[in-house]
Amino acid sequence: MIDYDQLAMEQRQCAALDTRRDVWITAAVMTALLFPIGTLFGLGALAVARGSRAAIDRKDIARATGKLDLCRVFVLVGTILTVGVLLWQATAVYAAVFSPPDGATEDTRR
Amino acid sequence: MTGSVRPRIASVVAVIWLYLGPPWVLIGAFGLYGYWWIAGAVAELGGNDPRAEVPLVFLWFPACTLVLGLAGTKGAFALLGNRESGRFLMRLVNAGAALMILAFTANWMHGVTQASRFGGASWEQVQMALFGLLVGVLTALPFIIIARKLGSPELRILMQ
Repeated sequence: MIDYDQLAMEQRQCAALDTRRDVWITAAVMTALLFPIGTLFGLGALAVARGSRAAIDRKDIARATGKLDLCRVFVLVGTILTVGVLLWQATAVYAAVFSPPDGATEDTRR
Repeated sequence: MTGSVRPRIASVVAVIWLYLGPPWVLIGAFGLYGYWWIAGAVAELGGNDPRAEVPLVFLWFPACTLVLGLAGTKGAFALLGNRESGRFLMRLVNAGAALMILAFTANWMHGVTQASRFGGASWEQVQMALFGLLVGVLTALPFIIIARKLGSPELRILMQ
């Protein structure tokens, strides 16, 4: 007896996993473009996600989910770290531009 | 329980714009603040000198970046929600981004050909301007491709 409901459920789960894979692989590539910290985490995320397509094709849902969850962790940590560092640098540049160091005069700045 | 299912191009474009949108909003906001700051300084120092004016590109470029960044972020969330409005908005945003990049490059390269002490552009300046235009076209190309892909009839049917 073929359980069509079970088959449909599996198909649906695989399609949803495929969508998740699209999202996190794209996010990993975008993170990898955030040089230099994001690059490390983005490439790590891409490495971790390797084999997820094959796992989805084999309907090995547990393995694919595990890989994509780990990929998501890499992407989120890399993105948050890079954005944090960029904002920190931006505040340092802003402070350097708009508030010259104490004792600076026209002559020393020239 | 399963997650949502979307066409691949919708997921890819949404994520790309989640990464591009917020930085464009920040760049646009700081750019407009910079324009306001420079315009004030120029007005104060320049007096009635007609040459003392800030080029308009300092106004329209950050303004466009701000608007496109906001619309792109909104469209990205709508695309993630598999909504047709997101597809339409993202088509507009990507076409607008391509236009903005081309207009900015054309403006800049026009400036390159005008920067001459002896009247008339030299061959080196023309070469530099053509190379700059090529870089602008290559930068705008991904946005044009995305806008075209989002306009495909198959995707429209899938998202309706």
